[in-house]
Amino acid sequence: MMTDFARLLAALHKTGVEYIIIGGVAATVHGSSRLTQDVDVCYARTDANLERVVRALRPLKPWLRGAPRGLPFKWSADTLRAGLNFTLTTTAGDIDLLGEVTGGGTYDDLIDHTIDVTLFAHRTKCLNLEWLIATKRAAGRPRDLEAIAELEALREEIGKIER
Amino acid sequence: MNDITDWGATVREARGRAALTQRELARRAGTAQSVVARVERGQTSPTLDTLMRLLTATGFALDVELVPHATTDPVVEAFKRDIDRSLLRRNLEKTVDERLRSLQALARLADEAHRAGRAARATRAPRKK
Repeated sequence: MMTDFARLLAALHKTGVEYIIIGGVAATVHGSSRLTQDVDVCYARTDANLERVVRALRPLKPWLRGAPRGLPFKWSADTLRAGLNFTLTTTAGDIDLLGEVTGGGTYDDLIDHTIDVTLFAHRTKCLNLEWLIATKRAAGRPRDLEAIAELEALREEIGKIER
Repeated sequence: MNDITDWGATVREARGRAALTQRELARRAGTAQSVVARVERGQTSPTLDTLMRLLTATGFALDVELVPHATTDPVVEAFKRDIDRSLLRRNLEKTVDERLRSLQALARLADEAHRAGRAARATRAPRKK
């Protein structure tokens, strides 16, 4: 199923979820031409925010991606509190909710390394290019190497424009 | 922001912005003019205590922050050589919203291509005799 980026972000915005766009969508924000299949966000782990996340995604019927439909899964703040990082599929497509990002830390650690962007008419925090590269490097996944190369090339191109 | 490991440049810039001579700075910091001169020329690495004392005497404070360490990876460099930079430059000319809408359009295209591929495979399935 195709991910409806606008619908997912609108859902998060509607209940005022505190989150930071990371991953492939953040790469697109910075100019990447690569196709991404899901939305990755780092969310604040406060009790109030967990409730907001639950309210935001409940209408989209979130489910653990790849898990059999019969597996018991209760979408609640308690479930979020008991875990940290969740890879979910919803009726609007796939979303990864990360309580902690490898090489970047938590929402509170990353918030000072974001830029404000308007995505589908919503004011949103997005990880800056420097930290996006750093977190992808820290993740150490071979499949990220090509993405890192593109992000570094983008950084060089932006540097040329700004000079 | 200066690379703070370049102590000399940092002290020289702070002294310049405070409009102090080396002798005036030395007097304020309780040290000798020759110490200030050696630090600024990079001939000595000051202790953190000395550095803080010199900077405080200029009216500035040292602000340290963690930044990602720049590394070079030969695999990443190899990938970089093959990147179509004209595509990236064209993306950079777009607004953020336009970039996201392009991504959504690409996702739609990929979804349609996957659907078409599945349909084609289904029609090419071997016929049972």
